[in-house]
Amino acid sequence: MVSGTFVEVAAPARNREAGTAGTAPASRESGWSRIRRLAPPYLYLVPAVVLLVVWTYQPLAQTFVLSTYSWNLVPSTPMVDVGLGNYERLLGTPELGRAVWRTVVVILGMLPFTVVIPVAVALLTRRVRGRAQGVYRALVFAPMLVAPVAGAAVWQWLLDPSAGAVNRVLGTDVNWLNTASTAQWSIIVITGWHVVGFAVLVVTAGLAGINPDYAAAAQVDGASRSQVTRWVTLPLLSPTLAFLALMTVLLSAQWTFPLIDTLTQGGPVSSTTNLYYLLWEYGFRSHDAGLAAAAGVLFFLGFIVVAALLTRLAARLSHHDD
Amino acid sequence: MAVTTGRKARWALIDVVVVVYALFPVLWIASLSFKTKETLADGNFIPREWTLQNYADIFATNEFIRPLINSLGIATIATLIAVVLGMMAAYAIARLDFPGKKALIGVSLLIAMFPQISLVTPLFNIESALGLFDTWPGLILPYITFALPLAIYTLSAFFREIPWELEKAAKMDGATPGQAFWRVIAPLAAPGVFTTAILVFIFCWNDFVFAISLTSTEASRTVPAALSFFTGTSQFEDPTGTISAAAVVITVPIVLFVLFFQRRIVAGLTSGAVKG
Repeated sequence: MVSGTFVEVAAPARNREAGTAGTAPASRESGWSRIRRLAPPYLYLVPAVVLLVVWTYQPLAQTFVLSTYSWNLVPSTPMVDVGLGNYERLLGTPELGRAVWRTVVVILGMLPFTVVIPVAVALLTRRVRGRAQGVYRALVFAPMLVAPVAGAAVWQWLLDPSAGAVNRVLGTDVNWLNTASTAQWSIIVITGWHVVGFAVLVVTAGLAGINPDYAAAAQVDGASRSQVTRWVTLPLLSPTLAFLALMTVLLSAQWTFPLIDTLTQGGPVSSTTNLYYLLWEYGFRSHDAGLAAAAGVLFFLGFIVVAALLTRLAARLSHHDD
Repeated sequence: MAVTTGRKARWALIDVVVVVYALFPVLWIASLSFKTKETLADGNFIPREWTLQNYADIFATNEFIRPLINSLGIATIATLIAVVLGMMAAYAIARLDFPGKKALIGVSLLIAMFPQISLVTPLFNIESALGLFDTWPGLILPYITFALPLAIYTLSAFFREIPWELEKAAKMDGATPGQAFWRVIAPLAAPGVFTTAILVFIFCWNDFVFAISLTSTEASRTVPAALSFFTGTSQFEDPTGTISAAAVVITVPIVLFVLFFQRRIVAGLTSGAVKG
């Protein structure tokens, strides 16, 4: 499908000048052939962009509209225009602040699993060569392949207060998922279990992209192995680390969703209700479409701000290889 | 260069802990799936009595078979379309230059940052209005859309690394454009395409948010959504054994797939997809 027809990059600027003169009858290029020449790049992109516009940007616009209405998601009931009422209601609930705080806790709690552990593991396995390395990576990657819902089922058993393996190994009898103080951490550890392998793979890929000459040069200059790691490898790895941190911030709450829904349903006493789950509850439990949309809008705007700040920060911190 | 044995041991310990943490639950699911109902809660890692009853149970019920067919069909179709569309877009991004390119890339990739959940309610409305709610296309379309940024991002990184002059060289040597593409470029692009396909497939196969909000019956419910109903009220008195068996059944194909292509995937990832 990607044949070599458009190998040469057309020079649009120069040709466009030729095109503006195209009103003259002696024009060498008709409008049609100009379209045929300039259109191909867009034709390649059109299917993807159309899908994105119809299935994400349009719903996004609808979220904004819906956030000013009161509606229970039933097509036959009328939508009532409430202006900014939903936002007032939302900001007035103490739930929101708590959910935001819990989301922050989840993100901070996930960072060791998505950044610290993967870096440690990848640095170590880098020295293991050949088959063993591949096997090790495959083993660590395995949980990513288990559907989160299926993972939740087994963790429910591992964390079982009476027969669970975790309590027996630790010699405790904690009811991990049904105690307000431990439920959140259990969710974090299970989510971490699910994504740690992927993060290891990303760090490994990042390490492989680093030119080994730098480390070699530093060693020639007498740097010890840990000095090389600290002052050469890690700074060069910073774009990868920034990428992982950004992913963690943006996706942690999303990763926890299937686990929370199957294991705790946001409880006990909403100790695991983060923003993501709160939004879902508004929409599909309370059937309060307006409130859910308002929360969605705030969530979305908040994330744009956070993402922009992080990318800016990452760009400043990154040490580029080239 | 002096690395003391103590340090080495500490590193090895970290590694072992991580492997146990990653693998133990996976093996535990497998173990549970072979246990009888009586020994389910005995806490033994190796089942004392082996049974295939759990597997027989899930394959005897439409509650599992139907969702399995849905999952396979929906994830496969969505992956194929997403990868093809992603290849087209990535090709244009990596190889062609045209006005408005930056803006179009932005439009295509920005969406990856949207929290899916904030779009679920409007998607539900749109799909209800169009009659797509609880149908295969009703899941396939959002899956393609949400996988596209990932596909475009990884594929354009790969495509940028391909030495495209080889194509011209092949043509100069007398190859037809088709030959030049299939014999020269396609093998070079394959690792990237496989990597992308696998990542997209995993995303579709394991998705839960859309699967529970955009389906309501077995007409389109996928396995992750169906599993969450196993835990609630269902015909099984104690669903853990059957859930574990179902988990094993849906995990094995994807593990085999990844193991089979593992070298290509890692080669693919390291050849530029995630380079900062």
